[in-house]
Amino acid sequence: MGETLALETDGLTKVYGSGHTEVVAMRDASMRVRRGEIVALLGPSGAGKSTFLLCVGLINPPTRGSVSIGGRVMQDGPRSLGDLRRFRRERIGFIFQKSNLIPFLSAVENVQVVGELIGRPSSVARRRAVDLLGALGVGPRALNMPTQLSGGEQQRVTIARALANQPSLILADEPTAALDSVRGRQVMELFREVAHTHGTGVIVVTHDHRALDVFDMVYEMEDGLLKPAAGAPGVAAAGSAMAR
Amino acid sequence: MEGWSDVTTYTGAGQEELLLKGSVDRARRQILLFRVLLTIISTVIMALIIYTLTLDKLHPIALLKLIGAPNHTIVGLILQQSLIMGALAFGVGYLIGLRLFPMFPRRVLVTNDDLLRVAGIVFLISVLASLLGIWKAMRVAPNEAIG
Repeated sequence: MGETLALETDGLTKVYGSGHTEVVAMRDASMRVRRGEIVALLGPSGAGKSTFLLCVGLINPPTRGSVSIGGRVMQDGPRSLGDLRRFRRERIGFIFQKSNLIPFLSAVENVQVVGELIGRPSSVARRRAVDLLGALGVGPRALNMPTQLSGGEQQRVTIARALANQPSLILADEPTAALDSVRGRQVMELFREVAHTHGTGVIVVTHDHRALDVFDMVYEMEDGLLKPAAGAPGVAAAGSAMAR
Repeated sequence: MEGWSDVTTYTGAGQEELLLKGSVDRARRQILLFRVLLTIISTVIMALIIYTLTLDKLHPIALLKLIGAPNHTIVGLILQQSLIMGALAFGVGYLIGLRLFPMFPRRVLVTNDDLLRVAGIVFLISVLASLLGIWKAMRVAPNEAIG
């Protein structure tokens, strides 16, 4: 039996509109991400990266193709929104360009809420949230409100939130865009550590080419086509996966 | 006395009915009308407040949906807000009543049954007022948290 992949997409295609208003945002995108692997997704604006993340994150259904997360096929036909939402809260972590914390909850409550959503008792969810914030170096700021945190600290809290449900997959959409290069690099290294320590597959959409050495594999997307990036780490492995 | 043409006799029950059906009844109907109008206006005002508060929180609601919060959790948050507002209004109204009623020319009697009835009405108003906010929250798409 083969290893369980954190993510496997097969022939993902997303078409918006129909007739002469038809736009193919993504075409036959296939990707495999092993557990503990960190993958970068590069590409210009409008290339289809966000569409890919939305499909893989079970937010927008693809027009064609399948998505398997942690060995479970999730998008190969109609599924109820409730099913997809349950799977998202149990198995996927999200990180965005802006920190996207809930402004009226403290740092620890922002992380705790994820644990509570998956049915953990409040005290257990709180303890895990405190542990995660501590592990990510923002423990002393646990009781602060998001506006009292720096950009880097907010992003760490977001990472803690993404880890709170022990996900199979973390999807990060330009998580370092609002950070300076030093902080950006730190966050990327943190992702790598998180992927390796927690055995979580991490996909990072980024424009920052300076931190590509952090990734196990790099893909690029252009005009809706996904392919391994030339000369980037893991290209050979990615190429063989794509050619299967 | 029945022979006196300018006098009518009533029993005790008859006198009560005459009073209730006359000016007292009219006053009672007027007060009822005011109460119904005030109830409708309160519901509309509260609905608009809850709706505005929901509009302020559309982004966190989209975020909650994105991270997988079920609909009933989001409905619960808005309903809870509305019920807390209703409970506060009830409490404030009760305390104001305690201060104001002794200043009235006639004694105002508020029984426990009255309080329970008002509490029930406040509960209903709170639930109805939250519906507009809930409707708005249900229409928020999770990907709005990303943009």
